[in-house]
Amino acid sequence: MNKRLRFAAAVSFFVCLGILSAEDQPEIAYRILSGYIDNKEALGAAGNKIAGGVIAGTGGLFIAGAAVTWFEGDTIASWSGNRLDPQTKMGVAVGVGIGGLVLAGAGSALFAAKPHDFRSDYKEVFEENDSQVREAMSAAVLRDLSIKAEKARITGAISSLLVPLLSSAITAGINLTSGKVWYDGVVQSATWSAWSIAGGVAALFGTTDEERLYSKYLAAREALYGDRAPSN
Amino acid sequence: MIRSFFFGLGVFLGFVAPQVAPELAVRIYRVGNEVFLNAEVFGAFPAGSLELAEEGTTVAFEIEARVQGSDATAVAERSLRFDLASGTWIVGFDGSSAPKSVPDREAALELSDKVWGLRIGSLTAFSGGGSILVHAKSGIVDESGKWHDAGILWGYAEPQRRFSFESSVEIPR
Repeated sequence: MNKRLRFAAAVSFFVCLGILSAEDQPEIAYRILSGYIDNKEALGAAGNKIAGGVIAGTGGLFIAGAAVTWFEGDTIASWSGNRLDPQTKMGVAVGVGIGGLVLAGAGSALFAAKPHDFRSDYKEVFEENDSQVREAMSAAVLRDLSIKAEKARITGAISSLLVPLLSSAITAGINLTSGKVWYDGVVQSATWSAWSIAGGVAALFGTTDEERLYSKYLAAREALYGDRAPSN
Repeated sequence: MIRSFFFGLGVFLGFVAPQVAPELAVRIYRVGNEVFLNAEVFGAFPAGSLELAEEGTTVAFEIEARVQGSDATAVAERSLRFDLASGTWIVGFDGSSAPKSVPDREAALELSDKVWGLRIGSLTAFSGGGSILVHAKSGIVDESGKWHDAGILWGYAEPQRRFSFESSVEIPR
């Protein structure tokens, strides 16, 4: 609530400063959506670079391993008094080398890949010229993102909470069909899935980024249009 | 009992959206020597209204702000209909400014349920205090542009709110 009051005070302050005039409707949802898309694009680009670097680096290590096997394999084998079979040496060097080349190629491609254009996903919003329509469409997109994120979160939470229940039920069923007492090993079967319960509870009571952004928009809207008061 | 449980579960999970009474949000403020209001009617176009709008009927709501003890009344109207020919939603503003075309229904609802910067009157009218009654009502606009009250579309009493001020300085900026 304090956050909401602070936000309302900030909006009022901007109105006083003339940044938001009485006539011009501010584009709150559009700004929030733009920030969200910018963030997604930045994270996506950085993620591609990191993953590409790791994969290409692993490929480089494989190539180096193949080169060492090919050029210095005999010397290394001689340290332990053994002799490296030429066919084995060729097989290992070529196999590891080809694997390394594939990984290095895939990593480089990922590193250089053009990041996903998230703005194109919402081009109707970003290509709209009318500020009022753009704002309304942005608000609708934020709402849609929030609803989808909430559904995914709650579905995931319920699935996580069902895992130990199903596991226990299956164990009890197996016990009954095999003539054992039904509860034999039921608690143990649920114990290993404690992480699933914890994850489910966390997901049930947590909020996603999309839900937080929509809440932020609603708080801003409340600051601009007033508190809701039920009529009945 | 079981039905109520599953209905509640559906609402909790977000799969069921119960029809609720329209809610009126109003913010009254002053800029210079003028008093304005922003308003939003949540649930301005419930399922019944949207069905009519999808068939091409213009459904609408009106916000009326009346300064108590004076004849000053400010009115804003918002309307909504689906244009079958273009496949877009048409949002109307008071019948005076040009209507706007919106491709998406949710966006059309976002655009049509708000009133921004409606001028109520002069600040001096509130120097000795006063109150403002804000009232929303639902209607249908026919082809000639004539308004017809249609409170039945909301299914609940028309929302209204009263704001009282001891003096003009009490009106927030």
